[in-house]
Amino acid sequence: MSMKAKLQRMKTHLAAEDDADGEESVSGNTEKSSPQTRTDRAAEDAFKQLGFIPFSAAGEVSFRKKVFYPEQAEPGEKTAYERLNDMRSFWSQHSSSHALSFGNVPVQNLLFFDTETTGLSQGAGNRIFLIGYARVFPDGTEVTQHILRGPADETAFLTGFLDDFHADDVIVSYNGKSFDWPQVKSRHAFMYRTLPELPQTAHIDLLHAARRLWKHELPSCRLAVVEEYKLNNPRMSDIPGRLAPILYFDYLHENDPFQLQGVISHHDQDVRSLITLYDHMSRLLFFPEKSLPSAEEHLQIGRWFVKESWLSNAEDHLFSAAEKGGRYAAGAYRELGYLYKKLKRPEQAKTMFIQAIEKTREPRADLWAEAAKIAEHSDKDLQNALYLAREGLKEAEKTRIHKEKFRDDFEKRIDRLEEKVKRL
Amino acid sequence: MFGKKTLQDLITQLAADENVAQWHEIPERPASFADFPADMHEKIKTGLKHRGIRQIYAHQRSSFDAALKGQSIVTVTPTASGKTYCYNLPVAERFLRNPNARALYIFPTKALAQDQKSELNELVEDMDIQLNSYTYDGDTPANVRQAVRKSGHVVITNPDMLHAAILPHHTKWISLFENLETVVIDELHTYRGVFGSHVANVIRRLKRICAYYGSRPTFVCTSATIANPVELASELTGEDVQLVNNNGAPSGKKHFVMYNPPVVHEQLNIRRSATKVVNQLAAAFLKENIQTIVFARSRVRVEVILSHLQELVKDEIDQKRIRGYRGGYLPKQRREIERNLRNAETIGVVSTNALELGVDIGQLQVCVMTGYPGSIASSWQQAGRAGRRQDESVVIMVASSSPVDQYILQHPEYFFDHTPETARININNLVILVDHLKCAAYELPFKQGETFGTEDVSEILEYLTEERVLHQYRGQWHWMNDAFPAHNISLRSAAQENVVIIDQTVTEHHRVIGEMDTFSALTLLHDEAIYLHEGTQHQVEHLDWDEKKAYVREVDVDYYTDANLAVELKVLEIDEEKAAGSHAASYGDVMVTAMATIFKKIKLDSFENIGSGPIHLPEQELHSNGIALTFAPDFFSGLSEEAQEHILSGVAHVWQHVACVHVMCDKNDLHAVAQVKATHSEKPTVFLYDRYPGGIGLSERIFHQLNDILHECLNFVWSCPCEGGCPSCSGTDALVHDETEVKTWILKAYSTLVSYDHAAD
Repeated sequence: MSMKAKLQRMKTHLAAEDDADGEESVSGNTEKSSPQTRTDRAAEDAFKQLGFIPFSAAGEVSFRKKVFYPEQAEPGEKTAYERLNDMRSFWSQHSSSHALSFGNVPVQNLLFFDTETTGLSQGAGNRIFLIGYARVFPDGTEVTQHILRGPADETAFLTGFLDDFHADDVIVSYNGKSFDWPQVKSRHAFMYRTLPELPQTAHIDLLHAARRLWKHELPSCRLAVVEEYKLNNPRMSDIPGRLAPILYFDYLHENDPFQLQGVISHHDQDVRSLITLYDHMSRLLFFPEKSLPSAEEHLQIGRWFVKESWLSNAEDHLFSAAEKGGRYAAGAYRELGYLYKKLKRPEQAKTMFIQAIEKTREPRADLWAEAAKIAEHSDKDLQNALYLAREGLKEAEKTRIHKEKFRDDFEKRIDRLEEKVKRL
Repeated sequence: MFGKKTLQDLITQLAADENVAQWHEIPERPASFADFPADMHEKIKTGLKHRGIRQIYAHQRSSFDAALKGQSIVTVTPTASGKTYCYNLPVAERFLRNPNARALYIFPTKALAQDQKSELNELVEDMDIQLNSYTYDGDTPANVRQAVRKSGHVVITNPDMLHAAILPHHTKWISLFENLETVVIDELHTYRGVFGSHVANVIRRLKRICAYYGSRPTFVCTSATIANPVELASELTGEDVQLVNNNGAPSGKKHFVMYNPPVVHEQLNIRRSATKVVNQLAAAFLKENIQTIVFARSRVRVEVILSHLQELVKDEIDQKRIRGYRGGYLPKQRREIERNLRNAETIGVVSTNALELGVDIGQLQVCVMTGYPGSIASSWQQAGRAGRRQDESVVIMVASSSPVDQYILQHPEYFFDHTPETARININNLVILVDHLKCAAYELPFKQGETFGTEDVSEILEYLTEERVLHQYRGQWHWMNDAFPAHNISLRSAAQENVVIIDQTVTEHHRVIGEMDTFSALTLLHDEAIYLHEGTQHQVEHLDWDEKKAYVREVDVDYYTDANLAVELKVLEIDEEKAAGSHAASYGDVMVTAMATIFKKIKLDSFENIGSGPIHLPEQELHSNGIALTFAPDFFSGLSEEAQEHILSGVAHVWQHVACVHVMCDKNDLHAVAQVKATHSEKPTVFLYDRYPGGIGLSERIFHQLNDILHECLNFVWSCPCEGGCPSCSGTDALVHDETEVKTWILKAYSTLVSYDHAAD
């Protein structure tokens, strides 16, 4: 029996690879095999119509597009460049590290970077087919995009990308630390014999920042969601990112670059969004008087600053959250309590813990414990400590998590305090 | 001490037991040493001397010499013959000659990998060299993985990990693949059937990636005794492999005893339970403080025997000195048991076949097997657990009532004289091949004219291109799909869509314990089925066919379930035909449609039918390879159709069991079907086919040894002591029908199927 016949007969036993969401083809072309319909020349013309210019490297062809979006500041406003430059001076004045800091690097060295790939797996068979970035200049923003003509043109494609990418650039991405950049590294490792070296650059991943700020507030931290809720810039008529691989397969199948039009503009918007997002986030963090964060944002930013050891910024944000009142006040006082404890200012810490207790309907047992500790060891007010510990014990009975631990702790504390009081 | 008996006394006592069916003595053999090779690095020599070794065994020397020449080898030596030196020494030598040299060790299970790592580490310490070895498996923490990839001189892993985690991510492993000099495949004999066919394809992918990065590793395989180690190793590795079997390790005299429990029910030919007999035999040795291992076939059995044994010897032996050992114990607990066995703290262990593989527990004096372990090779593996280098040892195989056990006891020559089973793989099974081509294309594009192993795969690549999984572009086939193919492919089965088995014994902690191809699931995972997982009985509480999930719960029952599969069999194409005695045999492609109808509950000890129930599952299709035995049209003339059916199903029953023994496969890998009027020929026919899509080469093998196997079938039925048929020799169906002498007819069928002309096969 011929192999062809066998394959057809065994078909029910052979697993089909599922396309994303089972959509076989976005263009509606569900025919199994219609070979490439356009000539390479026609495809090249189409790419040119889409603004791409071909170039050769290592005997392969790749396409690059550069678009400049000029920008002039409205009266009383600043351009993106000026705003980023403000941040640069800010970072240069602060020697301590911060996840958003790009130090003293010139603004045009920031690479607002993103890729589109043929899948979400991270193995050797997942290809990058669109790689690009936006750079910000005093007179506007330049978007550079490289597109992979076909799977055998990867050397030219990555050479083109590496050509104007330097070790002193700083990558700003969205989830690039765990997805896009490892993917670049993997493809580079695969072809390292024919490619220039991959520079080691600094990398700021805005997804990490977005999660810190909005994880509890937003339904998800996908870029599109953040754009809609936080940048007030919902995407209209945009191609969802998950369709990108299928569109690329359709392009390859039919050799029709117009299939990629949607992906190209989606990617272009993505990289420019990152500029706005970076600007928005850094202003929320460092210029709250102008950017007016919400109470919840103040609280989350405060927590983040505690983690980054920017304690005075943390204190400001937490106080703002506390002063705004509402449901985030108790959390803010609690954080402040721990912050002052860390700073060895027990007096203030206790005040904050007491505030936190007063602001919550069901104060958490740890607050009583912390307040009792301070009363005992720092205030040396045993009666007060005893009172706080007894209140804490009542509270512990109501808590759900770590109930036994809290109860034991309080009981021990009360026993010891009663001992101490007796000895007085 | 008064009444104290020695091992010798007990051997004498056993020899007088009337239930001993066979006694076979294996003489002692002296050691055969070789000098250290002249070109062996001083550090290795020093390290070995440090361990008190001044000479190595002959087979260790042969392995060293061959491997260093770049010759791939397979070493076949018994348990406890120092096989790890066969690969650890050449790997250390290569590292000392080239500090960049890498080696990859592949073990079939995680536990073995862990063992090997500690053993290698001790050796490395004695040699005082900076060789880093790491295990890489699902438990390796993320922060260690980076170090393993970059700086592991020896990476110890399993085939599943290689398949799904290493090969598809080869760009992270460049330093391994660029410098890979040695690949070690331990326990080679475990790579047979579907699993072996998958692993062979994983090795093809491994070699393809090595070639891309410019390395060409030597393969060092070790195997238990099987009939065709060189053939298996060559097929699995695609290399020209040399055999090393000049075992130089010494061994003491060994008594191999086959013990048949007495018949307790004459008519049905039912014997006393093997478990009870095993308890008594083992207790006799344990009471005298003689180190004994007992093998049982399931986890439940292990626990049952363990508690009985502890009870039986409680006056003589501290119960804690007898332990169980099986899957499901924590690694720490297992290590402790192994250590205690080595230092004789523990004198008795009851184990599943988990201790068959090369875990180091030292050498015991007595081994008792509860039933025939299912293959000659694993019998010898288990027997190898007893036998010290100097002293005498005893191996007792206690037969159960099952057909296979009784067959072995009737035919000790089959066991002792036969070469052990042939381990078969079918590396080009279409389903498996297509799966791995996808993975291979994901890893590296295929060039025009490139072969996979030696196989021309261009037609399959074209098929995958039409399916829009690959994209052909400038003379290459590229993976162009958003899936990660390795995730959809399990090495442990050939069918595309598997039923996931979920254990809900612990309500809050459901866990996936395995998966099974849909075809097998019809009869093994239907509602209320008793499913054995690594020997533990589970009952299927619900099979969700649409979601392909079977929910099971652990139970302890004394029956198993046997589902009736209404099978339609169509012969699609006949590849080969020949005469089978006065009947005809043909081999070719078959299409099987199967529908599970009812299931029976069958008592474990006696094979009594103790209940039944319906099965409601959709019909399934399977394309495979199979053999048809077509009876001459007038052979059954005068018999009713019903009688013919009973005879044919008896013939099928015997054929399936005997064939499974011969080709070393699980009894579920082959399936036999009887048809009074076969669709393709309208004649009485018995079919035997591979139970996996595309076939795994079993029926092909059987077809080529058909006459031998039919002979064995005839002998088996002939020698069965029952009167008119029993569950052993003619299956349960045959029993219900008294008016025809089913057994006589089965004998008649087989005696006319065999040919005494030696040219027949």
